[in-house]
Amino acid sequence: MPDEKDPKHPKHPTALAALLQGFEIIDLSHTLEEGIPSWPTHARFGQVLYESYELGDVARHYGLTLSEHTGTHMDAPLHFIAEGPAHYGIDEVPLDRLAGRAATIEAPELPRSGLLTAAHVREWEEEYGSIEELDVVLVRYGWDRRWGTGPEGTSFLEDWPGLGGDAAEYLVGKGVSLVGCDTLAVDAFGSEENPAHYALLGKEVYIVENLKNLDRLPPWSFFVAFPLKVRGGSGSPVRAVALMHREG
Amino acid sequence: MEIIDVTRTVDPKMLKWPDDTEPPSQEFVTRTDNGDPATVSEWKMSSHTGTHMDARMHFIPDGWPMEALDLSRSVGLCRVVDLTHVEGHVGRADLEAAEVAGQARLLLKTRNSELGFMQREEFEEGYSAISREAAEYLVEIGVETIGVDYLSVEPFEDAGFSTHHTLLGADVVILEGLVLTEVEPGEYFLACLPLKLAGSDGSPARAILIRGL
Repeated sequence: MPDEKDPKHPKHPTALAALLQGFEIIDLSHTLEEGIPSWPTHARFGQVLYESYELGDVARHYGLTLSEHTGTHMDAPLHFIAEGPAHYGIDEVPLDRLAGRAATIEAPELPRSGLLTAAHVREWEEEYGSIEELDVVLVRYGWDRRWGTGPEGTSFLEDWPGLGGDAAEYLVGKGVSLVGCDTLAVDAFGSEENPAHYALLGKEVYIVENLKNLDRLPPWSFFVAFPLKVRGGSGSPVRAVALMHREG
Repeated sequence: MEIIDVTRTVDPKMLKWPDDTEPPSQEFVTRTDNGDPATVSEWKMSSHTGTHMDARMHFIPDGWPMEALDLSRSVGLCRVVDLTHVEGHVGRADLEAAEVAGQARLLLKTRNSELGFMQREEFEEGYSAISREAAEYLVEIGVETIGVDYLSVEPFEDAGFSTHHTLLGADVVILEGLVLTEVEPGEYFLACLPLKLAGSDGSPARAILIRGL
């Protein structure tokens, strides 16, 4: 057996690179641009041109304004958890929990502000296999179709469906590491109690919201999203991707 | 699988480039400490804050902006090269001696890492960067992605920004502000997924190295 510094060793990074040659990267992130949908109370995304070659400067350079919950983003536990062991920021989220096998559950038929139930998750498992500890669970409501930068984006901000409290508790019981969705929030529009946020973040199950392209994923794929390392942040925009096996 | 985070934490007291840009600022919108149901803050920061990527358009008019990045440029096998012995800036001979040819993604670990420059709050003018001839050599040997352990690939005294022009002109992807202090030289799997910023010249990023499977 060659030693671990030898590229032929199965634990050498070359093995991971070779493995990933067989996979395609699917971008699950919305482009960050002015006018994208935002919580009414949150900062809008913006870019201010500081300098540019057209203006006689040597380089082009922007200043960014962003809410921690801008675009495709991750919630840190302290977003909702005010005290205790889960009261920590996005810079302390363990990175090894943010890359894992991902189940994509289809739920495009829910009524306005409807809730995905634990029964729905169990039905999915009967068809595609059991969700296990440390899995990622992505829910596709088909809501990303409403995303837009103009008036067409306003329907994104109303009546979105969400994860019911029983489904959130069920996934927490399974020990999943992360739950993602293609809506503005994991809890449905109008939820005052935010049962999914409290259930998930309280047990250090991380949340990614405003995903797109989940319709391109098979029932099982591999999900990766690493947040910016913002000290004490309640969240961070992320570039979320999935890896899926190349066809042919 | 071992994951090594090579990212500078973003906070209002961190180091920044000493020109007209402000340090990152955080403003709370709501906070649970004040009885709000959730904590949220907004940030203002330069697109080149801390650990970040330069898009080609940073120096090249009509160069690609951040949202057009080919993710394979910053995700894949990479080599961390030991240049901690180099006094001053990294020269062509230093790279030749390190036998870096044939690598698509290179991260240069210099004395900046040993001195902990990226973790400081104050900017350090005496950082080690890539000389113009070293940049030309990197282009010559076909390097596609270059990472450095301070805020710029450019020597501080190079007012013409020839290193940036050489690298971005040849469409080399630049990662700046990596924290390589705890990283042993060798081969790793690099995963750096910057934000998908429309039309932007750069983006803050989380950069990690993976060793083993």
